[in-house]
Amino acid sequence: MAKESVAPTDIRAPRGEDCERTVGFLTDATLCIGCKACQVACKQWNGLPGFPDPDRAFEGYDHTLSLSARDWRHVAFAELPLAGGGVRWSFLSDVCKHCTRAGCLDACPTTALVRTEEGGVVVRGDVCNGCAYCVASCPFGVVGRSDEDGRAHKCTLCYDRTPRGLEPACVKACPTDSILFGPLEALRGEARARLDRLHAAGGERATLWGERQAGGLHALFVLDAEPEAYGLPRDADSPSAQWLLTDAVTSALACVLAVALLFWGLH
Amino acid sequence: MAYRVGPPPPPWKPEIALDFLFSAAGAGMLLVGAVAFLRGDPFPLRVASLAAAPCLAASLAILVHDLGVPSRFWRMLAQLNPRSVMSWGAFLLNACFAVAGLCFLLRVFEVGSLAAWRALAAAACVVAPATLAYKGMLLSVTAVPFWRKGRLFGALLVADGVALGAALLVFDYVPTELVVLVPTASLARAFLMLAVLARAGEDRKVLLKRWTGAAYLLAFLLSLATLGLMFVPGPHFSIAASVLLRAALVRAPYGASAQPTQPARPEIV
Repeated sequence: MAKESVAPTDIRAPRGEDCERTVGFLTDATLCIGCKACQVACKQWNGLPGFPDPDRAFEGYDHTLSLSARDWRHVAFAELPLAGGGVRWSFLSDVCKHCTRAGCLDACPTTALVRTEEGGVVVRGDVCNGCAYCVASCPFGVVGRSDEDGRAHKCTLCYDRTPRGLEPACVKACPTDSILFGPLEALRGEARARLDRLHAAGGERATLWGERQAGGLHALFVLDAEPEAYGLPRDADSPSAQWLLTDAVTSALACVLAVALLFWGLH
Repeated sequence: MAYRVGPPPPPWKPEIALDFLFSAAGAGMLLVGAVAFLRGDPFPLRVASLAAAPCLAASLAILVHDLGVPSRFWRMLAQLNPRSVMSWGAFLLNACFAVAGLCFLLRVFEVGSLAAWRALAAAACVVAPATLAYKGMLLSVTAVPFWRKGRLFGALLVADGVALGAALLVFDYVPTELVVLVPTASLARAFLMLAVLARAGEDRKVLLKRWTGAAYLLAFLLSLATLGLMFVPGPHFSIAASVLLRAALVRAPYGASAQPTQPARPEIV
């Protein structure tokens, strides 16, 4: 497939003076070649540890398997069945979605997780106490707790680069422009344009994922298959936004009922 | 290869199952004792006052131990995040521990007016069931598939905590042949929570994987059975019910039919 025409320079990263804009990622599975340059660049820029078990590097092409405290980018190697038999690969560089209704942000009891003025969600390492409730509350399995320092870690949307006018490290390293960074509205327009071109070229299964999940994500994905093939849920939202109220009401009723029954029973 | 959809199991240690057990035992005893006190029977609260605070202290200690950075536990109490069940829980568990601790001190030093005990009992009637409920919500308000499907975890753990607390509280009244029911109820509770925690994900390394389903079912049935015993009247169940409530807590003379050797009750004030 031909390389898309929009280069990262066409959607410039926010500068210090206009960083109030909401920014995000657009990742295109149809352009990804699975080189993992984004993973390496992310580790390099953020000082993340390497792979814990070098032997696993020989077990398969995907030896990190998922996002974690030490892997803030993960290139999924999805095996898609072909009509005539056999499979083909489709690669996708997964990352934190920086959700509008972020489960991790809702769940954090110490407010260690905060939203930046650019719309990203970052962990304040000096506040996090490692309760790991954000790990259980992220519907995308993004957040991980480090065994080394006991704190939660995830993608920062390169908050230490973008206000200075630099692209995130993964975007900078991507050789095929599979990953774009920029204002969210511009990325949405670009994603729809790509989708139209893919459909016109016969890519009927191509979809745009990330516009309606969790109130809208700050990481959009142009997919070449069902989202589950890449480990992405079809629908997802912050558990707190979905169930906190109903569960609180149910539990409160149970409390009242329990106390009332005890009062009735004990006399 | 097929990728996991959804979050991994949180990296909580297996000891968290004991935290669920201790908090349910402490809050359950405190609640049953408090209600009995407000209904005119001070003796259960005297027992609960000695037992609840150590249980809740153990629960708090396990929770702090499980944190990635235990020295920052206090940050949970520095502010309230109303959208976080964990944040509610930190305040509720500490409030419950504070009430239980005050009861413990008043009981040990044999001080406190009737009004003070009433105030503590009334406070316990609020914070103890809420503490039980938050533990269930802590699991159900997550993205972990098995937990989030347990929509009634909050209600279940309230009922289960009351049953366990009552079972432990009336231990002294239990006929010898039924004493085994009390540790059984406690073990069932521990198995229940171990099973629930272990089923967080389909991780092959998770403890008890092969029999979590059976353990969960057994524990759930035992919990329901112990809860049901509380409210079953009739002569046949007069002994069985004494395990939990009736013979121990209902009416005077304190389970006399089932416990002829029942010692005289000390007064609370």
